[in-house]
Formats: sequence, structure tokens, C-alpha cells
Amino acid sequence: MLLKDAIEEISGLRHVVDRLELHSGVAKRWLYDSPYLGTGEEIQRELALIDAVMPLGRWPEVTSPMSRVKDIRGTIHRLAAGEVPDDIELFEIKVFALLAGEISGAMREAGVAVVQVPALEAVVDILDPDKSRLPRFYIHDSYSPELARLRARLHDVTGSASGDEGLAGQLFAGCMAEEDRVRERLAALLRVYHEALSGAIVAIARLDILLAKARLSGEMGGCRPGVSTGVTRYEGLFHPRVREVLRGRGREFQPVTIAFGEEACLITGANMGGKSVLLKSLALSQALFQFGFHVPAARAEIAPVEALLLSIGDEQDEERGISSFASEMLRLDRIVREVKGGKQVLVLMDEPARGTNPTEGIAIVNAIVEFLSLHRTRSLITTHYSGIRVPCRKLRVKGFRDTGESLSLCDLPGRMDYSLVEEEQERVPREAVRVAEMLGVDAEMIETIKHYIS
Amino acid sequence: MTFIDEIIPYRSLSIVGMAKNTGKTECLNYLLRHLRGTGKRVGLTSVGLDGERRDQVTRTPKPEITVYAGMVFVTSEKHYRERRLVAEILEVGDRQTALGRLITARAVTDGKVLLSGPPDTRSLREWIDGAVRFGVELTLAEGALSRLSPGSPAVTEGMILTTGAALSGSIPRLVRETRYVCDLARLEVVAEETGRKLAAIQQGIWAMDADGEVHDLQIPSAFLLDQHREAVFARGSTLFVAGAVSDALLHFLRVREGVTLIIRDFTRMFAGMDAYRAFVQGGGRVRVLLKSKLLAVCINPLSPEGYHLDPDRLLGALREGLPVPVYDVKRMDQDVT
Repeated sequence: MLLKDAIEEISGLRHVVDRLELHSGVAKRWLYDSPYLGTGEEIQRELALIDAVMPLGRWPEVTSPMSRVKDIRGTIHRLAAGEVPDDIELFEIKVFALLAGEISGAMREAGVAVVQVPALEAVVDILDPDKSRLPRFYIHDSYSPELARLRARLHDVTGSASGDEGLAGQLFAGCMAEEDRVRERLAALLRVYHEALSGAIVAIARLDILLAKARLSGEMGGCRPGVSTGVTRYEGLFHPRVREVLRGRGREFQPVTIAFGEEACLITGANMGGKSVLLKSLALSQALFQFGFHVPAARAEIAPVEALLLSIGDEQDEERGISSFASEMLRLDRIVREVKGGKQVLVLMDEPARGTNPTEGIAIVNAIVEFLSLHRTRSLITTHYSGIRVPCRKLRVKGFRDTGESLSLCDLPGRMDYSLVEEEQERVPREAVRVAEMLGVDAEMIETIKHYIS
Repeated sequence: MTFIDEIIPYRSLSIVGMAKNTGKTECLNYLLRHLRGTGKRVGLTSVGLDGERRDQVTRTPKPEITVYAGMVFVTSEKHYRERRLVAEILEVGDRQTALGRLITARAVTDGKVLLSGPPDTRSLREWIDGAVRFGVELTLAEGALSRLSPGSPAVTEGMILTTGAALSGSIPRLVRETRYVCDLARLEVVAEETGRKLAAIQQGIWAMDADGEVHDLQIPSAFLLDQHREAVFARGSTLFVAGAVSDALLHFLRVREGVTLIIRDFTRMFAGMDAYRAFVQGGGRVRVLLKSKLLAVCINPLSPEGYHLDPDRLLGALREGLPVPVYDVKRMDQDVT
């Protein structure tokens, strides 16, 4: 899986990735093609690199030349394939080699060796006959004595008052032909370095992305996650996009603390209790971790997984014209097959079977929890259903701080406590009725509801 | 003072034509020929690939410019590859145009090249500003077709206007039309204080009352006047139009006495000569925020259809009728050689 695919699947990931401030013209494509890192070692390595560039901050000595780097992969590809570059392409190769030199020089000076930018001095030498080290190029006279001779004659002919146009045309054609021969020679010399050139592009893209990841972590208020072999643990976990939206409305995101291992874990709690946001935060953080990013939390220890399997419904199903229940069942089927296949996965399911009748719904949730428990699958499942009899770990969102006073609709969010508590035994939920009561719904109606609950 | 002495002090000059084929290229070639050897470091561009496309439609070949060693020019990738001179590439632009990216280069030898520079006046201005990095002291910008927009003082400091038989076969008419553009280019500038108040306004029609207060009349465009007739003079008769001024607007304003119409610069005046004259004769005044500097008018007595005006009569009539120097660059060169 590549980052560009994950962006389509995981809500909020695009928002984070878009905030990366890239400088060069080569990093963007490289970023979107970043691979999912399957092992703890790979993730550790990437996180260590971010650490290494973290103190450099904005680092203008590197970002300034970086911002002038253009994507010349096409040119290098053609060069490697045996084509002869024209003057514009030779100019671009020279400018690129000069910038790569500038970047690696600045890195040397700062004593940073996170990424090796190959030395391209030899490439510059080939394209810099007057040793100016300036970003400019043409087929210089010194490349060929024959070219110099032809040009001098052309100059004399066009400069003289008599000006033989036929001869001038001949000489010009001669110059062009000789320039072509020079370009062929230059191409042969440069072709030797095509791997170094490609390598430099990759290195610059890598460095650009690492610097952007480091800066983003600071801006987002994230942390470097530890790599765990068992329990995944977050303190102060948040969802950057949701936090931003809330801040826009003058409210604060309440960060969550949670830990879970290789087990099925059922999460219950009131409406508006933040269960979906919790799952989305977990999905986002796991994804960022697997792509070697810092995560939006105060502290985190995360166990790597081979796949992140989600069933978090959103508006997209409706856009695709599939009923939400049908697409949910298809997602369930995929989860079951992956788990049966023995993959290390993280399963996050938001209110499975919510859209169907409670009798079948409860049966479906029971079956899911039983299956995931049996396979010791690292999984979190939210539900509104009570009567899930399968033994498993249960967490409950605390929900309303019930102060006994009545409240209005806009007071509701302020009264929510999004933190999680372990639920030892099955409890008959009462929050729905409490909310209705506090909102001042007709007392007789409330009594009737309570009657039916008991 | 010669024509060349006249232009030397400027940082940027546009060469714009009253019509297509009025001799912009001849004028540019003349200037380049005579700037060579002055020690002035010259930059060279044209505006608009539009012109190029049109030329392909009418199949009149777009004339090549002769560039001299040391001059910096910008053209598209396509035309750069077709150049007939040795040049050193200094910059490759990021933006794709219909003819590829823009290549900025310094001529190493004399020779010919087709110019197809930045596609709009905004990027033209950016190129002029950026060319300073390459040591350019004076940029000459050739406008496309009959568009005057590169002549805006927001784009180039000074301007040269070309006119000739391609505009009209009748000398009196040719003089009248050219005189009109000269008059526009010489419109008086508003008081500094007024200019400051209006400079940032990008759209709409605004009024300035007797106390110098500026009011948005809530008319989004002069083309929507009919729907807002009453609103126009609600705040007095000094108006600022941020966008283009049309015949219809001038006819509408003419009915009221003593109107002062302020425009950004003369290139915003899209109204024809007759509407303008009627407005001014009725007591209306037009002022600009940015003053133009029209340096000279150059003539081309030949039309592309082969129609030939008597160059002496044309030169005489224009010199008599225009408030700026008039040159026939073709004959000036013959005089030299």
C-alpha cells in the first residue's frame, strides 16, 4: 500500500499530509508513493531520521536551493536510454547538479548525514567549461576547436559589409552540425552519471520529506511514537482535523488515553460520546505511524501491524450508491478473510450493523466479537447495542457529567466527558433517557420510556 | 537629442501598435541596432502567444528579431530551438505555454530569433523585474497585435506607439486615430492624495465626494449601468472606474455636466474616439492614477495588402498633428547607411 492509497481510505490523513511543507519540485510524487512500512525496524529507522533533522528547523541553507530543484527525472530517463539532450535539458542537468552540490555542502557543514546526496561535481565539470559554477549553459567554443573555427568564420562573414548570405548559411549549418556532435559527446560523458543523478533526486526528495515531517510534528503538537511489540498505548490522543474544527467554534478537543493489545475490545457509550472520533483518531495515528510520521498524541507506543482494516462508515458509501449496510458487510467479509489469512492487523469497526434491526444487529455484533476474540485480533468495535454476551474487554466512554440540572441543546458538548473507563459487567444504559430528561422532554413520555426499559 | 538618446534613461519600454502590421518589429529592430554599442545592457521580450496564434491563422510570417551579442531575450521552447544564433540559457521557466516553457537566454553571437515571451502583462512585469538579475538595464517589450496593454505604466515605464497604412489608407483619419491614443497616453494624473485613496481598489465604480471621501456605488461593472442608473451620481460627479471604460459608460456620463472620470491608466479606456471626444467636448474630464510616458510615434507607410502611403506626407501630417516626436525608422536607417 502506498500513501496515496491510504489517503483515500483514512479520514483525516489527507489533511495531515497536505500540511507538509515541501520545497523541491521532486518531493511531492515521492511522498505520495511512500510505501507502508510493515516492520518496526523500518519505522524506527524513519523516525530516527526525523529526529536527526528535527533540530535544523527551517534550515534555509538547504531549503532555499531545494526550492529551486525541478523534477528532471524525464530528462535523466531519456539520457539513460541513450537519447542526446538538447541545450535546455543540458542546462537543467547542470542547474540540478549545482543545487545538489549546494545542498550536500550545507549538510556537510551542519554535520548532518541523514541522507547521502551523491556528489555531482563531475557532472558540473562536464557542463561548466568556463568554470564559472553559474547556472547557465551553452555549447561553448572550448568544447570543440572546429566549432570555434566555424563560429569565428561565421562572425567574420556576417560582420563584413559585403555579407555573403549563402556562405553564412553554410557556416551556420556547419556550426549546428558540430554543436550536435558536441552534444553527443557530452551525453556520453553524462550517461555514466545517470544513476548518481537519479540518486540525488531521490536523496533530495527524501530529505525534503523528512524536514517537512519534522516541522509538521512541531506545528501539530505531535510526538515521536515508540515502537511496541505488544500493547498499543496512547496518552493525549487527538484528531488534528476535528480539533481544528472545534477550535474554530471556540471549543477544545478532549484528548483520550487508551491502551489495547491483541484482543477484541468493545466500546460503548452515549450518543455524541466521541466513539467515532476515537476510532478515526486511532486509524489516523496508526496510519501515520506506518508511514513513518509522528503521531497526534502527547505520548504513544504503537505496535506495528501488517494491515489496517477499517469499517468506519461515512458519506462516501452513499455517493457510491451502495447501501451502507451492504458495503459494511463487504468490509466485514474482507476483515474476516484477512484475519483468517493470519495477517497481523488492526481492526477498527464503528457501530457494525447499526443500520439493521436490533435482533439481527446484536447477533452480528456478537459474531464479530467472538470471531475477533477467538483470533486474538487487535480490534476495537464500538456499539450501541447492549446484550453482547460474548466475553471480551469492554470500555465505556464516560459520557454525561450528570449534574442533575436541566440543559439546552448547545450545552450538551460541554457536558461530555470523552474519557474511557473499563466496564466490568453489563450495565443497562440509561444515557439516552437522561439526555431526553435534561432537555426537558415531556415527563409523561419519559415515564413511559422508563416503564418499557424495566 | 536623437531617438536613441531619448530612450536610454528608461528601465523598460513597450512598443505597441495602433494596429497589426504598423511596424512594431521594424521599430524594435531599429532600436536594437542602435542600442548595440551604447553599452546599455538590453533585455528583450514580446507579450502574448496570442499574437503568434493569430499570425498562424492569417499566415503572415511573424518577423524575426535580430538580437546582438550580450542582449538577454526570452522566448518559448519552440522558438528557442529554432533560433539562428548562439545563446547561453540563463533560466527555464516553470509555466507551460502553448509553445512550451519560457527560456531566458543571453545572445553569445548576433543572430535572429522569434520572440514569444510571457503570455500576459502580469508575467511580463515579472520577467522585467526578474531580468535585473541577469544585469539587464533596459527591457524592450513588443506588444502583440493592436493591444495597448503592455503600454500600461504599471507594466513598462515608457512606451513607443507605431502607426501606419495598416490602420487606415486615409492620412487624415490615420492622424485622428493616432492623435486619440496620444491624447489618452497623455491624460493628466490625479492629485497624489486622491491617487493614494484609489490605488488599492480593484473593481467596481466608486465616487469621491466634495470632502474627498470615497464611496463604493455598489455597481459591480460599468456594463451593468442600466440596472443602477440612479446610484451613479448619488455621491457627486467625481467617479473612479476600476475596470474598463466603454462607449456606453461615456455616453451615459455625458448627460451630466462637469463629470470627472478617473481611470487606473489609459489602457483601461476601451471607448472609441467619437464617444471620448463627445464626452470631453460636453465638459467631461478624464484623469488617470498612473501617468504614461509616450516617447515617440513610429510610422510604417506600407500596409500588408501592399497599399503605400507617401511617407513624406504621412510624416508631415503626423508631426503637425501629434504632440510627440514622430519617426520613420526605415528611412532613418537609409540615411545612416
